[in-house]
Amino acid sequence: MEQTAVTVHNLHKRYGEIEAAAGVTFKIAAGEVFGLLGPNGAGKTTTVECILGLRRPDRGRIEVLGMDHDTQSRQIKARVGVQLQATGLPPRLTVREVVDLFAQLFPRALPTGELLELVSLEDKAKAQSASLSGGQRQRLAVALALVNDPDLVLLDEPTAGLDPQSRRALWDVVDDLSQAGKTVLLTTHYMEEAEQLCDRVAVMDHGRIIALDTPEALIHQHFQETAIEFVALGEPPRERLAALPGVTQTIFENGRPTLYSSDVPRTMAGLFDLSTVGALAFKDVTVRQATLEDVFLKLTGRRIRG
Amino acid sequence: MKEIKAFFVVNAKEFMRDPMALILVLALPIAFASFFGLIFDGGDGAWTLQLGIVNEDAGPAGAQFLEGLHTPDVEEAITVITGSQAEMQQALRDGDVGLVLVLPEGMSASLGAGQPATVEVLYDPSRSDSAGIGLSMVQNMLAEANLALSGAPHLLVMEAKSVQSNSLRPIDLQMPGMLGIALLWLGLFGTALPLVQQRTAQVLRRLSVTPLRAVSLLAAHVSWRVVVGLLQAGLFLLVGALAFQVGVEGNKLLFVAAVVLGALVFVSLGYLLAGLASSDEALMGMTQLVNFPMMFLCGGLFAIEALPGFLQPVANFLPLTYLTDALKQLMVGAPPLHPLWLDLAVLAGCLAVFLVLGVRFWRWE
Repeated sequence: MEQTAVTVHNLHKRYGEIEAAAGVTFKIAAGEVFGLLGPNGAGKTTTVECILGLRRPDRGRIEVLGMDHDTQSRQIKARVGVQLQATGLPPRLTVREVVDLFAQLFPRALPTGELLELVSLEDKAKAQSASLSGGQRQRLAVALALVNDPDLVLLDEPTAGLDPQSRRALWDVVDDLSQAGKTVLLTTHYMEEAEQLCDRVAVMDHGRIIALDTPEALIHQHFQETAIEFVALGEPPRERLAALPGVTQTIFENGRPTLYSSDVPRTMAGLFDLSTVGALAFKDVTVRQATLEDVFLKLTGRRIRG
Repeated sequence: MKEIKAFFVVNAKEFMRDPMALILVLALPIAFASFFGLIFDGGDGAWTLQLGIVNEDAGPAGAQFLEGLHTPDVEEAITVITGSQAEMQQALRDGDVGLVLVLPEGMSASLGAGQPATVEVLYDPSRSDSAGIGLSMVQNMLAEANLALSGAPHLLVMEAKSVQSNSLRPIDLQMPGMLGIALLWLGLFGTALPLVQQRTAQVLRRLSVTPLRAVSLLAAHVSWRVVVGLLQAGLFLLVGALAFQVGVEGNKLLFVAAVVLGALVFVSLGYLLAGLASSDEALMGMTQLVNFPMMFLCGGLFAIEALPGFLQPVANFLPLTYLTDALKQLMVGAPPLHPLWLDLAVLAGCLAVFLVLGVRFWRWE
């Protein structure tokens, strides 16, 4: 098997005035679980679509499993499994019929029963796809992504709209894929998911990759501090908060300041002092370790879920 | 190959589970044919031509012509009413006669001198049945009369031919006409519409990231719909046999070939339209743009001769005209607009063009 599953080199793609990808470069090693994070409009979808061959890059080079879409598109498609964010399903077919149909489109395929079991849809096998709930559709889409026992699995927001239990179940599926040596590229809005599943994550913003590393390294690199989060009642005094003892960084977002502190007791004391002198009213204080969410907020100035 | 088979089966299931498709493609055309056939039918048995004759000729030729119409075979199909030109023109306007034949003054004298005489035919083009069928009947009659006058022994020959033509009732034309329209609808509403819906719902986008080829999808779509086309034809023949004594008078194999070719042409056209239309709404517009001219100008619902003059040439550019003509000839032995081979050749040509363009303009999203 190839050492590198996916190579994206200097990818450029422009839609009119909007530069959706402005020089995206990264490699995904074979067997790696790779996460692509970023707010809406960051260029994740465009990058994924170019990897899939749905879009032609304006410039740059893309290699998938050592092949090029220009010359070996069908060979690539035979070995890649895809779950798209909005998957259209033939409405008048049952779940089993849909999976059977997709199985016929590939040179080799896993047994339908096994796939339905994997995503816990056995009891829905005879239901028409139009009657499925959002979460069930999503799980069926994941089953379709695995139908050809692919070497590279591309999951676009695989757990969006899933209940916590289904989400856990899907994480297990991704873990199993990883164990089996498959390469997984996933995009997600859930930082917890990225931390849990991904060997490495790339953070995208404005068509560029602005950070790329393991989740632990990213957190460590940006935050050795503890996060103190609260809801300010009224306009928070930004300068005075930033000047509190122990505070190294502050982020203000929608009246929700986050202070990053290297000395939590002293910062908390300072916070209460401000409150006492009437400079700040606040509630709902949370003290927690920095997460990927904080990294994201720091890098893009936005929370990933608006 | 296996993906074509898989999609063939899927198409069959989707079709059978889609009540709209079943109604539009299978039930509606046969219902239309029956309805039109029944309301335009005189009520009892065969349709007869009400032929008004104005005999201004005082000599033997006019009398002989009238005499020739007094045979049982002719009387079964034609009711002759004689009168003055003014009376007959009024009768034509009132719809009491379908056609008026004017035998000119001095016809006998001209013919006797070996000079041609011009027989005038008056008709009302808004009445398609009598205008279309009647004109061809009268042409036959005159041709035979010419033969007879030029010395051939009997007028009887003429009757044998006109009997075939005069047996055509409205339902005889409605059945092949609506079968042609049913095949057109199979392409428009049974192919283009579901394809665009699947594209809008991103079903096609999902398929485009599998190794599936557009050509395979086309092959599966088209081959299943040819089966539906044959089902439609079978349904028309069944209803035709049970209710209207309409079957296939001509070559049965050629009839099957015409149905298959017709289904292929219009399903490929549906594929092409689906590729050209960027949205549901765009497709709706394009569908009507194709549907209405084809339906009304193809000769299936109204005789082409009955159309306003400026519209008649348009019919030559509509593929459905050729299919309708072929089906009419093969099913009920209607007088040909074009030779059968030409009809089939034009359809084959359309098929090639639609297929090439259909694959060229195909889009997954």
